[in-house]
Amino acid sequence: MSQETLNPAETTGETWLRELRSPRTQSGALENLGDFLRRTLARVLRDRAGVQDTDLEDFTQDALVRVLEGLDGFRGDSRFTTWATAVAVRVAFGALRRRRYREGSLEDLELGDAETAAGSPPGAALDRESLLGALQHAIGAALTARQRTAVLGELAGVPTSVLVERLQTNPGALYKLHHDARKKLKRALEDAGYREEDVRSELLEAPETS
Amino acid sequence: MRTDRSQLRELLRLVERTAEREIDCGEFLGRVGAYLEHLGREEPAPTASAELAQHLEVCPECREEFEALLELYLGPEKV
Repeated sequence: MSQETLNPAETTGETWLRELRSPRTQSGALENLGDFLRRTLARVLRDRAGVQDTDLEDFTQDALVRVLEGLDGFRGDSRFTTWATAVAVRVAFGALRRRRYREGSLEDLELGDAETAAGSPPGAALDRESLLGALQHAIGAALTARQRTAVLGELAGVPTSVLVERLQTNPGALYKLHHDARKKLKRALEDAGYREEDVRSELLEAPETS
Repeated sequence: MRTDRSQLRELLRLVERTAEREIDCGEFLGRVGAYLEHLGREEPAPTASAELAQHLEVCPECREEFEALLELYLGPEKV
């Protein structure tokens, strides 16, 4: 296929893969895909404050690199452009999150004051204070230092890419760290006598205004 | 940065939605295209979609990106 006929909406995934992998056609395919992603990102980011034309160009170029590096991750069960758009949105949003994030030390992450009744036994009627207290207690008692950093960091809005760097890990391992931490907290609440229904009914309550 | 009560409550929600087995963000990215196209066709959800929906419950970054993709492909009323 020549560069002129590469229509993003109509090109099959198989053709995209072939064109992007072949040194003979890669440049033209990247140009076509770049045009498509630039237009798409402009639509996605049009209402976002502080996004300049130069940002769009940077996000597009970074997305093309990520698409090329991740071609093996395209499963072929969607249009290629849908997958590439998801990659581009991840790249752009990741960059914007880092920009919004005010740099701070992860060592500053702390649990709040122990205003809740940590460790107090649950009664027949669920007591919000004791449930939140039990969760607070479990964060301190059941999690490793790295798990605590991952959990508290995400709660504080630290971008995943920043946590990955600071914890010297990779996104997959960070997710596992966080997942293992949540499972531990779930078990700790169960061990403390809280049933899933207790937690659900607490979550159904109107948020506090403290 | 101190954890406040609203953050503890959010963590409680995340813990409640935690599944024994979950897909991570990389796996989600590989599958979200098909999920979006499936939603666009308004067909009954395949079983595998439950894993993606569960991931969206516990991953705020993927959720933010998914909402943008949903708006792009299906329009703002679907978000």
